[in-house]
Amino acid sequence: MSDLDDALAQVWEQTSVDTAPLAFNAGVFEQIARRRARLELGVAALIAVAVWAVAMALGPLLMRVMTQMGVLIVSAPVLIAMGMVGAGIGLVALMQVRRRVDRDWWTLGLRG
Amino acid sequence: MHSDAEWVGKARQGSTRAFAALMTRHQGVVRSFARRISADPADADDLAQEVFVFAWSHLSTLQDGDRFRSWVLGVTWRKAQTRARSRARRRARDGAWLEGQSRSGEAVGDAALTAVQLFETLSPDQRAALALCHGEGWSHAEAADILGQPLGTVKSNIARAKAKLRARLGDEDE
Repeated sequence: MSDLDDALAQVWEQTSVDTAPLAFNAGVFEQIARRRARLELGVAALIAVAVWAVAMALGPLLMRVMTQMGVLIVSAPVLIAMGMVGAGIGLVALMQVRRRVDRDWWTLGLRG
Repeated sequence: MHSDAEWVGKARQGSTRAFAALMTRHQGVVRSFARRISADPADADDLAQEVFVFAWSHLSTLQDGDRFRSWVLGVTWRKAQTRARSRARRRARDGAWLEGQSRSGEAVGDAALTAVQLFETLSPDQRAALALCHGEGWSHAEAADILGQPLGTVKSNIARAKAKLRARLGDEDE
């Protein structure tokens, strides 16, 4: 065996990896889950902004039409009530997102 | 025992168990290759993890599941190049080129170099070609396919790498 073959054999031996892969695999899955969670939260944020923009655009128009039809009388209590309902819906949506992040996306269902 | 193609098929459908099996089967080769071609061996495992994260999200682009190993090795090579380029830019920006000087073979006496340090004096192209063909047993054509280089380039890189190492080692049986 030449010096070159001997040296290369040493290189392959010293740079080869045969350790147990479990920690490596877990690290990969954690990165995948983290990336997916970021993506999903980004999409959720975009949807929320889109819904908010549509509501801002259509809300006043809808309220004016309903007021003219006599269906709705716009007053401070009504506005406060509508705001609370909207905030409640937003909160439930946020909790749903958070629950899914914790249970599914973060671990890809591997926990348990 | 399942073939790579079977595991890839299941992983494409979202099976994390299948993908874990693929990783268990190939992570050793990918991590070893990453260590051999990385400018900084310390982050070779980070590179290997990045490769498998990429593989998970791009499995649909792999046409032949049985070529999973060569595919991930190709991804490893491309990502290592990207990292090397960004490291070079960062080094240039920070003016920390002295760090690179200390890693080159010329700065250290050849007699003091270990086999691995001697190997690291080769260019990344030469290291990759040698690691695949000599270290992993791939043919020149397969290595060319993995590295996305012409066959002649791979052959000449291997020949130059061997000549350079022989010269450093003072090996007379060329």
